[in-house]
Amino acid sequence: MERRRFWFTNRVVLGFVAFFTVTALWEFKWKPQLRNYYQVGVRLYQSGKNPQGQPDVAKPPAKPSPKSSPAESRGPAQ
Amino acid sequence: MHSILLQALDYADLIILIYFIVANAVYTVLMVISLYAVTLHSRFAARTSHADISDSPATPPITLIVPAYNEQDVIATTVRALLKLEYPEKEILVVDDGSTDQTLSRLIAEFGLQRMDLIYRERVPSKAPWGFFLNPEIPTLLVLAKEHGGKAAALNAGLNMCRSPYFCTVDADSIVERKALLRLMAPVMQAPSNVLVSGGLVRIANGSNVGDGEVNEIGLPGSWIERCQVVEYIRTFLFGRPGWNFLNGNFITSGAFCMLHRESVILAGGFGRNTVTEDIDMIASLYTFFEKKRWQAQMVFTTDPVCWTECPKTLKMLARQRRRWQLGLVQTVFKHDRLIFSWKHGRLGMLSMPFHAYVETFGCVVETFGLLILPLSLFVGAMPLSLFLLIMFLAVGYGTLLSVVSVLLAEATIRRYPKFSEMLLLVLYAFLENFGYRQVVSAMRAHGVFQFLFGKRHWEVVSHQGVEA
Repeated sequence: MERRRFWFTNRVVLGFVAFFTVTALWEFKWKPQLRNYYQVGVRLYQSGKNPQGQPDVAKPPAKPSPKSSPAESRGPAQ
Repeated sequence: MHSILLQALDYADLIILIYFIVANAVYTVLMVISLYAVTLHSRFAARTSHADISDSPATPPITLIVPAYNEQDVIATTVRALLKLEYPEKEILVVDDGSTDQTLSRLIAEFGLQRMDLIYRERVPSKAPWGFFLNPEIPTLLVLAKEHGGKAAALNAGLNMCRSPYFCTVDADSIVERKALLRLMAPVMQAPSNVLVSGGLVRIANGSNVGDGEVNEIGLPGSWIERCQVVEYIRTFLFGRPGWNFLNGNFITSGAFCMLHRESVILAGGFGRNTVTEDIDMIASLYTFFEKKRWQAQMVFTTDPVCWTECPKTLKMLARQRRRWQLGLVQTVFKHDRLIFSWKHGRLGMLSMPFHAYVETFGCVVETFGLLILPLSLFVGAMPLSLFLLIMFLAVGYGTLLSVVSVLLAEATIRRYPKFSEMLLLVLYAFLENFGYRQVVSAMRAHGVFQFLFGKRHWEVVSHQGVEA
C-alpha cells in the first residue's frame, strides 16, 4: 500500500510554488521599478514642464534607484 | 489602490506572456517534428500492404474490449464494424456496464446471442459479470453483462476475460477502419523493444456517409460546432501526438482506440477507478510501474490506423466532454506527479510531463483569464494599445497558422476529403475556429480544472445519437 502523501509535497504544487515565487521576485523585486518615475515624468510632460519630466521618462532601466523618490531625483521644483 | 491594481495586472500580464512564449515555442517545435514524422510515416505506410502481419503465424491475437453504457443507438454498428476487421485472430468482447437502456437486448437480438456459463477469473478489481452471452455461430463475439461500475471497471472486467497477449480498447460510439488493427500491430512487431501501448488516429465521423459499420465516404458535418471539432481533432492527432512520439515523450493516447499489452496492464494494477480518464491514467501507471521495476518499455503512436468517432453536436454535450477530459487530465497529473521532472523517465519526465502538467493542464485557465485580464490592463492603462493588439494578433494568428498547417498536412498525408470545396471549407474553419470556438472550449476546460480544485470529481455522460446514414 502506498504511503499517504500531503498535497503540498505534490510536484505539481511544488512546481507552481517555485514558478510563482521566481516570477513574483522578478516582478516586484529584481526588475527595475520604473513605473513611478515614468508616471511622474508623463504628468510633468502633460502639464507642459517638459524639461523637468524628461529625465524621469528617459530613465534607463539599467540604473534603477528605488530608494530615492522621483521628486528627490529631480531636485527642487522651479 | 490604483497602483496596487496596476502592479497586480503587470504581474498577471507577465504570467500570460510566459505561458504564451513557452506554449507557442513548444508547439512550433512539435509542428516541425510532426511535419517530418507524419510525412515520413505516411510515405512508408503507403508502400506497406501489411500482408506480412496478416499472413504471419507469429502475429499475436488481439481482443477488442468495448465498454458500453447506454449505447443502444450505436452499439450494433460498432460491433458489426469490428467483426469485419482484417486481422488473423481477433475476439470482440463487449462489456455492458449495467446499461439502463436497450443496449444488451439490442446486442442479443442483432447477433442472436444466448446466455452461457463461462469461467471468470478476477486478476484486476472489478465486479464479476452476472451474465455471458455468445452465439456459437459467431465465436469471435462475447458479451459480458455486469452491474454499473464505470468505464474503468468495465474495462477491467473485459481484461479479466481477455486471453490474448494484446488487447485493444474501443469506444462503443467508434468505427474502426478495416485494416486499422494490422496497422496498429505493425509498430509493435517492428519495434526493437517491448511496446506496451500502440495508439492510432481518431477522426470525426459526423457528416460522413456511414453504413453497415463502415465509413463509405468522408464528408464534413453541417454545423459549425462539429466542423470546428474536425479541425481540432486533426490538429491534436497530427501535431501534438506524433511530435511527442518522435521525442519518446508520449503521455496521452485516446482510449477510443488504443492497443495495450495485457500482462503489463494487469501487473500495473489494471485501469484505475479514481480518475475520469482511465486511458491516460493507465499510461502513466505503466510508465511508473515499469520504471519501478527497471524494465524497458515503449509507447508508440502512428497516424495510419484510423478510428472514426462521433463528436458532440451541441455546446452542452461538448462542455460535458471537455470538462471531463480536463478533469481527468488534472487528476492524472496530480496522481502521477512523480513523473514530473523525473530524470529517470528521460524526455517524458523532463519535457513531456512538465509540459502536460503545467501548460496543457492549466493553460486553459491562463487563456480564459487572459481574455479578461488583457482588456482590463488596456482599460486601466497598464498596457499600451499597440502591445495589446500585438499580443492578440500573435495569439490568434499563431493559432490559425497551426490549424491551417494541420489541415493541409492531413490533406497531404491521411485520407482526404473527396470534394475540393470541403477541403476549402475545412481551411476556412481552421481560421474561423480561432474566433470564438477556441475561447469557449478553453473556458469549458478551465471549468474542469476548477471542478477538480473544488472537489467535484464525477463522470459526466455525453449522449450519442449515432452517425449511420
